[in-house]
Amino acid sequence: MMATVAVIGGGIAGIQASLELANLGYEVYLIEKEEKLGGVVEKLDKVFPTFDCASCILLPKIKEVESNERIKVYTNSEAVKVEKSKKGYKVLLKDGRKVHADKVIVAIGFKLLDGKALRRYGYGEYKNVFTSLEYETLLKQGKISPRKVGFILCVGSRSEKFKNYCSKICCLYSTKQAILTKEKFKAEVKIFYIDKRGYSKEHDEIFSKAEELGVEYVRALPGDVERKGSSLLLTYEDIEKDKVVEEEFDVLVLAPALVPNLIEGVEKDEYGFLQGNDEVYAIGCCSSPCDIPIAIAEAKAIATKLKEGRFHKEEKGNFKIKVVPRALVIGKSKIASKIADIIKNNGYEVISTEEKPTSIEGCAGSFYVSFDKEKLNVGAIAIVEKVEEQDFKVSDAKTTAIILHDRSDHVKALKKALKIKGEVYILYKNMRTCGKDEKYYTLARKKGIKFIRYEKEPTKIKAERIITIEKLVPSKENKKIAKVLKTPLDKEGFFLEKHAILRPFELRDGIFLASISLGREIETQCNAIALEMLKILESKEITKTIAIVDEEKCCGCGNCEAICGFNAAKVKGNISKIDPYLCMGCGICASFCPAKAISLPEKREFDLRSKTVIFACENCPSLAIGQSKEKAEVIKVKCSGVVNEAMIYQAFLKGAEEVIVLGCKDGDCRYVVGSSLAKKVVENVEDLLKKAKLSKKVKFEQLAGSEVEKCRELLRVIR
Amino acid sequence: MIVTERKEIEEIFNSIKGYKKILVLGCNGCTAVQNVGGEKQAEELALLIKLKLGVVADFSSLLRQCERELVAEELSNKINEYDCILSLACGAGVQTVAELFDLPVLPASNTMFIGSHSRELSILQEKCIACGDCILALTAGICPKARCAKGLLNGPCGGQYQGKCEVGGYTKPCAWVQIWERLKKQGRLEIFKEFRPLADYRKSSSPREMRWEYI
Repeated sequence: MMATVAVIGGGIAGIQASLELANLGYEVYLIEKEEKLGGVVEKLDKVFPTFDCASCILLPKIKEVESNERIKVYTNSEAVKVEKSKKGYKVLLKDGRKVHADKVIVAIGFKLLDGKALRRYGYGEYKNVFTSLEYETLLKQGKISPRKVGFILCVGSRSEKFKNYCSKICCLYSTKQAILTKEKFKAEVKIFYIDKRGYSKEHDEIFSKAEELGVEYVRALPGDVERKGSSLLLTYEDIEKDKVVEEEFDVLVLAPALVPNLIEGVEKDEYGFLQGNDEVYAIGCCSSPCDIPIAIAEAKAIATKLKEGRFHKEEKGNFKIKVVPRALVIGKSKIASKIADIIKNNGYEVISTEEKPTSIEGCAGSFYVSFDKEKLNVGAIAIVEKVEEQDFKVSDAKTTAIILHDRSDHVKALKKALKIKGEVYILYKNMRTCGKDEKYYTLARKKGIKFIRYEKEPTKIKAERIITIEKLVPSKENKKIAKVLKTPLDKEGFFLEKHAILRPFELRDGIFLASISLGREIETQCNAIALEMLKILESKEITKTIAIVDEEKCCGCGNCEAICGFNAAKVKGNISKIDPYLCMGCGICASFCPAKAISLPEKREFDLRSKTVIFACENCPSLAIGQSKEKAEVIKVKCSGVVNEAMIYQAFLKGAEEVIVLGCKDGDCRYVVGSSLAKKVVENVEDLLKKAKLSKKVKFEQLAGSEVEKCRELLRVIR
Repeated sequence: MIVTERKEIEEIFNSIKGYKKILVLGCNGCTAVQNVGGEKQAEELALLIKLKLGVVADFSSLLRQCERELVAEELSNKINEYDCILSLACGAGVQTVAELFDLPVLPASNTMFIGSHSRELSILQEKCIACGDCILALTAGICPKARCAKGLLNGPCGGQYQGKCEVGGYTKPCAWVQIWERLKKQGRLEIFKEFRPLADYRKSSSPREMRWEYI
């Protein structure tokens, strides 16, 4: 019999966990108290750090859950208690129903703190004081147009009176909201904060982006709010200028502490967050304040821990890759050996090496990795990023001064500082003890460590021992490895994962990254990466769709080579050769081959019989259409870039008066060049129609998944 | 390669007026490389003709329309049902097809010049006028007959200013300055002084014809 697991909470963490576990062969019961899945992410406009629209991230996952036979979704079902039973666990629902399962994953998320901490700022009394989530909804719906907005951080967080932990994500989501406010309304924006807290390498960039846009950060914990006419009068102490300031705002946005949702039968930790055990796991914000990438990583990590069965995946395609059941872990550290151990425990061979590869060929399932002396054939690769990290030994001195950089490991430094005997000074810019780690900061202050904040240069102080802890820096080796992998590095030289939310830990298909610079827990990272690698190793055979060249027709023009966004096509000896390992099967080259020599194996016939024919990319634009709930006859294509001139003319010939091509926003195209090609094709057709004096119309529009209103308008005009 | 340009659509429509069954014939040679007259473009044009004129318009293509036997072999069985062929090939292609069949063969393209293409610079450039008397060995691989607006054999003339040619208002480079600079870069400036004989224009007087055998 199939093992069963109950996932409580249908937010992003619960959804991801359900998907992963269903793929592992579990029968999943996904229990959600609201009428639909989505949790907090459903309410968001955009998500950090990637600034994607939240729906674009969420909706495909929900669709996947709904279409997965192994996941049974219970909506409108509030779980109230988890109880051990004879054979496993039972989850009691509010209406008296019970769900039995072998294992339980609790992902019930958080709510925002309410009450006194917020009332102090006039929340509940003045209509233009909002919580961050309320403001996000307003941003999403565009039902607001403020001129001056103040964001107040740490409302109830980092407080002896309310919550003694840091809520971790408020600095960043408020900065995100500030950026959106600037971009959408060009409003004046001030953020009142204690410390600017980021925990991953890209976070400081988000802060600087906000500053560039003119968002002003004010280090202050504001006092009171009063009404003054239609606006709000905020009083705060400007510590930099050493005076009390009264300032008017139209809108105040509070970032209240995250408070975990609770459920009976699952233990709490000292902060009131849920703590799992070996059979009942807590993930996401109910276990600790976290962002979306962390929640997703935790869901993946849990799946690895629960892994018993094999992966189930059915694929279509015309190219088969025989998977090599062997993994390669590059790098020497605890992280590397942990990843290797997990994979070994699942019965696969692992080769660990410290050596840098000189070339990597092939794709997920079968890579040929060359080193100076040998060549390995492996199915999946993990790279543990080498980060130059400064450290110091604890030794006693009369006075010790520790100078911290914003991007050095503050928690580690504080833990060590707590062990030092004698007087200790810590010089810092922003104290970054995020989430539950706030306790080390509290403890250090209680123990008498003196904290001195500096703006640009550390304050000069006299001390017997001065320790400077520089920021984490990427190893110089990265450059060489990146070149071999053909993957980009960020500005500083750290590896860049493909997409922190959609493709976390992934450098390239089949090559994964573990790094302390990602700001995710090591244990979580190792398990999540192992899961992704095992998915490949266990699939035995990977099938994919690739473009095929009719060599007799190919004129060797090189158009495909110039157009492909993945360097998959190369003209060799006057004939185009498509690298099956690199080809993504989008079909763009086929649509633009002058000799019509390239094609995809499956031919699609389109039903083109309406007055207005809409070709919509199956990604963002189709999402927007789906959400708009408008009934529109739409022809879904893999990418707007496959719509060529002939397809548009054919639609006209079948009687269409207008053709609309819907593509993703610039930079969002999954196949890199699709959107810009579609734009050009439509321009060409438009031009020819005009010259041919034909009254038919053609239009290209770009839609993000979240642009539901724009999409509705577009579809309405058609009718 | 031979550089072509599709004719204005109106001119094409006018030229095929009255015909009811049209075969739009692409050429997958030079013109396909330029994205002007390949099978893809033939399909597009056929569809547009159907749309505008409501006549039968099919499309097909050949590897090269300038090869007599190839055209004969590929097209002989196909063309009976049509009353006209609209060719997207260069002038050589159009004429080869026209010679072989009794149908009217009409050009959909204008043949511009012999040139080279650069994807990066999005440019097709005239490089050769097919004079039959190549002097590139003396001119650092830059043909003044094709690239000098005046076709001078001894330049530059007084019409160049800072390397630009007076013809066209100092926007295009002077071929002779380019020749001089490349020779200098290659350390072969002495060639510049070499006597360049008068061009033998008899070699380029039309119509030209040559014997050609496989071996």
